[in-house]
Amino acid sequence: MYEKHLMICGATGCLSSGSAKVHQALVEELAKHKLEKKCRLVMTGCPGFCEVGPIIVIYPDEVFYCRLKPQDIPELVEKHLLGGEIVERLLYKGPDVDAPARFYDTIPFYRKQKFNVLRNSGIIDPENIDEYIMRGGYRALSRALKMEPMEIIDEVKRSGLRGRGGAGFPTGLKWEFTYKAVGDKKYVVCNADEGDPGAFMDRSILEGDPHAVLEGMLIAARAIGSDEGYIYCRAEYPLAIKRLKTAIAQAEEYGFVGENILGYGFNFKFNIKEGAGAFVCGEETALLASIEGKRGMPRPRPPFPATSGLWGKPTVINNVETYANIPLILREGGLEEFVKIGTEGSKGTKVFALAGKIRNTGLCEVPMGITLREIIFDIGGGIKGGREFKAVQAGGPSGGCIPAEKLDLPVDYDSLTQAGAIMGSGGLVVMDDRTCMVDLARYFLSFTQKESCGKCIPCREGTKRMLEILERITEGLGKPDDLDRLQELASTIKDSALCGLGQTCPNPVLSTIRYFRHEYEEHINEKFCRSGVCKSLFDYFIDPELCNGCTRCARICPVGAISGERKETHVIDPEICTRCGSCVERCRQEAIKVTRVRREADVNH
Amino acid sequence: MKRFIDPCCEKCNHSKETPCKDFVECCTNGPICHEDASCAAKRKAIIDRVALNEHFVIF
Amino acid sequence: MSTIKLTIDGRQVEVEPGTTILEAARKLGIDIPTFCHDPELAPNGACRICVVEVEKARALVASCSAPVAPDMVVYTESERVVQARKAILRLILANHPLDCITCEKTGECKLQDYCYRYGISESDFEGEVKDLPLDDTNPFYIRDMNKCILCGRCVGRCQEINGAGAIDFINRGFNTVVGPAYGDPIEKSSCVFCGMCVDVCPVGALVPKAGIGKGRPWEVKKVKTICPYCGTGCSLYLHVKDGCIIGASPDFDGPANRGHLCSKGRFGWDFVHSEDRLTKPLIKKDGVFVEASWDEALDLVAEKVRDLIKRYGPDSLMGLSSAKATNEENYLFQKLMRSLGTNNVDHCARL
Repeated sequence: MYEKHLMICGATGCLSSGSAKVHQALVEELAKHKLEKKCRLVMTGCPGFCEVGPIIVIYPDEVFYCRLKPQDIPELVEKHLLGGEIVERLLYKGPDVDAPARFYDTIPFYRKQKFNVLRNSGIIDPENIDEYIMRGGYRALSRALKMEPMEIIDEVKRSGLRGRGGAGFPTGLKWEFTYKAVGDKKYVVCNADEGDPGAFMDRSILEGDPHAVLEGMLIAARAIGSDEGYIYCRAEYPLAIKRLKTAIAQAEEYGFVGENILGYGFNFKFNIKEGAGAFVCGEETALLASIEGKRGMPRPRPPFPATSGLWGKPTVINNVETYANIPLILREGGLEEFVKIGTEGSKGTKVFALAGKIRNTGLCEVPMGITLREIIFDIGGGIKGGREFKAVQAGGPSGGCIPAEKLDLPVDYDSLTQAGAIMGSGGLVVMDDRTCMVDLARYFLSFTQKESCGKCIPCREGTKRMLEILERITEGLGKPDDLDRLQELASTIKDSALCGLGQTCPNPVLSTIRYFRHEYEEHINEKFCRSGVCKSLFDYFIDPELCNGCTRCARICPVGAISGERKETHVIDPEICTRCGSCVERCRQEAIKVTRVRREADVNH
Repeated sequence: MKRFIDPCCEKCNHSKETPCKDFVECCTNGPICHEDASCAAKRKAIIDRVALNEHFVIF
Repeated sequence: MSTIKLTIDGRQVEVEPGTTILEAARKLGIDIPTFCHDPELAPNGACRICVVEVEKARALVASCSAPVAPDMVVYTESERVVQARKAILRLILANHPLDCITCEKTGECKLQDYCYRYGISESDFEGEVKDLPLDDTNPFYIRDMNKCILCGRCVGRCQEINGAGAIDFINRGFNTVVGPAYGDPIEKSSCVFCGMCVDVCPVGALVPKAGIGKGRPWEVKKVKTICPYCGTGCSLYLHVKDGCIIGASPDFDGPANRGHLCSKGRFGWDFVHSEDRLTKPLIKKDGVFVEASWDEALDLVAEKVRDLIKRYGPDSLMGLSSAKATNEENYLFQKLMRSLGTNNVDHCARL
């Protein structure tokens, strides 16, 4: 028996903030105090709160330590493990709590979350199948094996589960089509080619709870009558692939994968296909082409994969998060629990990746129907540095931006679509008043243009011309009819592109024009970028009312554009200034403001 | 018995070659096919070793 | 299975299930433009010029790949369709050289035809234009990827029909091009120069070298014939202008080849008008070939034949003809040999 369990986050987010070194320090420190037999140290999956990583949660005491460094470890071991005393300075602190918070229930980031698919992340050792079984794992499979295919499909349909990868197609219906399709061989495919910039929920699920995905796929296979499956995972996720391989090997050993699974005469084999990182391979037909060894390019639908998928055989293809929901629905009494959460048209929870100018970056899982305001302000802790919220980009490059006046929008598939965004894979990029919406649209278009597979003309050539127009606008060369041209191109692409990615890629442009038209007009007509992003469309100046002459700005300026004596107002020479923004970050008085470019004419008069 | 796949006694014959339909239930509430307090204790020991708290085991 | 009834441009049509909208429209004589559509290949849906409006569909539908459905209502030239087609043409033209005056394809270029049909004379999009080097490294055809509209028919034909797999799409986004692996010239690839890519290219990106500057499509007479190279009997068209062969193209309805040709049948016609070709008989006198008249030459052959038969019998003779002669000529040749009393006839068809 262990006295303490130390669950250290071993997911990519915390690994990049140094959790491997913290882990190493813990190993050494536990050895030093001969605590190895008493304390169990586990590299777990992601608990979500990447902003404050590396994270360790100590059980059974339920203490959440964050922002750990290797040098904190001796104190942690001495005080907490040996002395039984909580190390307050390593607890979560922030403007959203009055006192250091000890556990999930007192940390605001976690308070409104509802863990369904992340139920095991950060709690179990993802490389130990026993722990998954203890958390109720493979019970849904055992139950499903006793059921008829249509009974399984019926439960999935009744759950109201919709695809978590983008389009939100009803999962049960997809399974039914594949079940009814005629074929001597059928495939189950998992789309783990997570490509949206900033989205990493699928990686987290695979790293934190790989068996949940395997179990979901096994149930799908049983439902549609398949004996072979592929997991298409991007090669940039080495840890996810490693843990998947471990999980598959363990499940095979336990008799959950292979021949005659649990004695029901059901066979299933898993294959892992590593993707080379093309964004378009997240589109289902391109993904299937890539598995077949061809260039990842979408093909027209119909035929849909349900009737003609991998190698022309009926194929169910769902994403990671969708499969991770399946064991929850199929376990005893799971369906009733599942439908209690969410809204009429969108059941269950959704995992969102919080990124951008938000205080608490990371992953959160929330019930459908929660408002954006709750996600961004209650869970996300609002905007970094207390600045003003401007908009949130929902759904990645296929999504759209949602402005402040829509913050009370309930988050579900249909409301997001109505607002000009999409649920997508669940990326939320939060923007403050220093984000230029034209530049944002330009960024997303440059992404889709680079990642366009090049097959269809509207996407390949159309996004290029849209990007060029946006580039011109951000460089101050916008023309009065540019907005009309953007909208015309966008509607052509939406209406005639081949695949879902092409048809949705104008969304960032259309939604920013819809909600921030004035910013475009200001760029085009007044050659002014009020957010201070488009470098040729603004000047910096120092507000003499606010400047206290601290010299910090002058010292940081890399080109020597700022002059002024100590304790006197400083001045920026716009001729020298490169608008790098270092001084703005540096100034404690917020005295450095964005202003219109002074033109020759203005100066002379 | 260190892992659930290890047999609690010679009465258990679950393996991937000779699968038992009750295996999953047996892991956490076993043994199912026979009554034996020491077999049950062996399975409980696996759970106790890694259960983080009283809410940890779900089934 | 029962047939499917649908309405296209207000007209009823009844077709087999699985028919595409494009095929159904063609049955009615409605011409929907296509670049990438190829009846021999799986639907590609790449060029989007064939989009049509289908009632109750969210977006426009590519008619080349969308199957018909019962009671479907289709509009092939609605305002929305025409607007999309015009936009697509403008997008192509923005990235396509406007050198139609000297382009070999002028007159049989689909891009030109559709721009004419929809009144697009130039593109109003300014911006980057492809500037890729010509691939001129082989004796048969030029690859000008600046003119390529990436319809993918050449790739499909090369992979799915020929099986050579010499070309595929390379790069992504605006930089996508069709070419051999590693950007090598086509001559270093697995290309067998069957020329099928050249035959299906809807624009002037793939041009046979032999005919460059020698005639416009409307000046050329296409003469259907059988390839005399080998015994397969591929059906092809010789492109003839002013009595000269300036090119060849396969007969897509040819029973033996259905559009296939080998590099010889497709490109090997320069010998016909070669200056090195013998046009007068030569007789070797004192170790040197000397020009002779036909009478002189035929007399010499007749005399030698008669002499050999007399001395050694007819089986001492053997006739060897050229496979480059027509089948009819070869037929007559074997008749001649047999009438001389020998069955020793062969020709050099193992080219």
